[in-house]
Amino acid sequence: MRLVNLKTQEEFDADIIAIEEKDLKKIQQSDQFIFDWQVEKEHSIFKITPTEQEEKDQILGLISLSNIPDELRIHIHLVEVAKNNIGKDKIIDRVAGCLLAFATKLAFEKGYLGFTSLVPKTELIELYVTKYGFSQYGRQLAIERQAAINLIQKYL
Amino acid sequence: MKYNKIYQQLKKKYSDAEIADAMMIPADLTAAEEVTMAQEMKAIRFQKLSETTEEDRILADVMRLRFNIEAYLKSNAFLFDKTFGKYLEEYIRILKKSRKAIAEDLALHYTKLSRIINDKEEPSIALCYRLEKHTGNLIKARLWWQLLIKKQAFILEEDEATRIAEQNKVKNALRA
Repeated sequence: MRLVNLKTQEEFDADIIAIEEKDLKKIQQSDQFIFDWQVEKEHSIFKITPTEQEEKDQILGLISLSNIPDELRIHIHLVEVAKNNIGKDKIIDRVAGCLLAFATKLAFEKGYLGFTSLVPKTELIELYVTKYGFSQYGRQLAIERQAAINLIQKYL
Repeated sequence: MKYNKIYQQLKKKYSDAEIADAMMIPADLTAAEEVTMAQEMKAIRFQKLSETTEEDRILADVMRLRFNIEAYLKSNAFLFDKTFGKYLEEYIRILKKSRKAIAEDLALHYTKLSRIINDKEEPSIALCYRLEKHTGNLIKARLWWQLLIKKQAFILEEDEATRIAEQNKVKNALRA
């Protein structure tokens, strides 16, 4: 997957991998993440980092998710991008999109037709629908099939 | 209300669009709401599954094939059961079409297609472009071509007999 440095307009490769215990300590001590990622330990947590060896230690964003095999779906619990990459002054773009697309990729790999669900804050539902192509089911959102493919094609 | 508290803090600095662009903040749910939501999602999921079409299955399987190819290309190992021909054979199996029908789709002679599938002949760049189109752009020409490059890189390193035979033909080599 490719991210964009908005300062230089250069694209660069990134990887999404499972976090290790030492990452959690680093995240807790860092001022880049607001949410308590220790709580997310009960789920699977993945980090997105630059592929470049010298920058591999830099955590650009995090996602926590669960595999629900009985219902053939992946559920996203939380996504957070490092503080430097939020808002009008952000340095790196496409981080959250890549993390969401990664979840749908897992849902394809497991044979779930890309089905990925989440229960976001009500105020943000419309934005996730418009920006990422999720469908709304009451207070819940889900993406699958062609919409999930579109997300992957855009970000991965 | 742990997530709402953070959301309210963020709202002081960022717009909702900026927040949605950078995070997925979950709703704060009571235990009872969590149970209800889980039941609702289960019902939605099974309803959606009952609507699955053959086209959905094909697209999903082609996506899985693409991820398999990407993972293989990322690994260092070369495997003879993961060549261009073998992945093309898997693609045809997913489509449940005959080789004859696929050969026609790709404007390729049936014999040539069979030779490529059986690794008796290497594919051309033209075929990679055609496959990109045939897969609905889900498997790009670049990925197909990289499978060939990976195989050739392996053969280049391993084929000592050809290396010796070809190098015996060389005259006036530089002394380095």
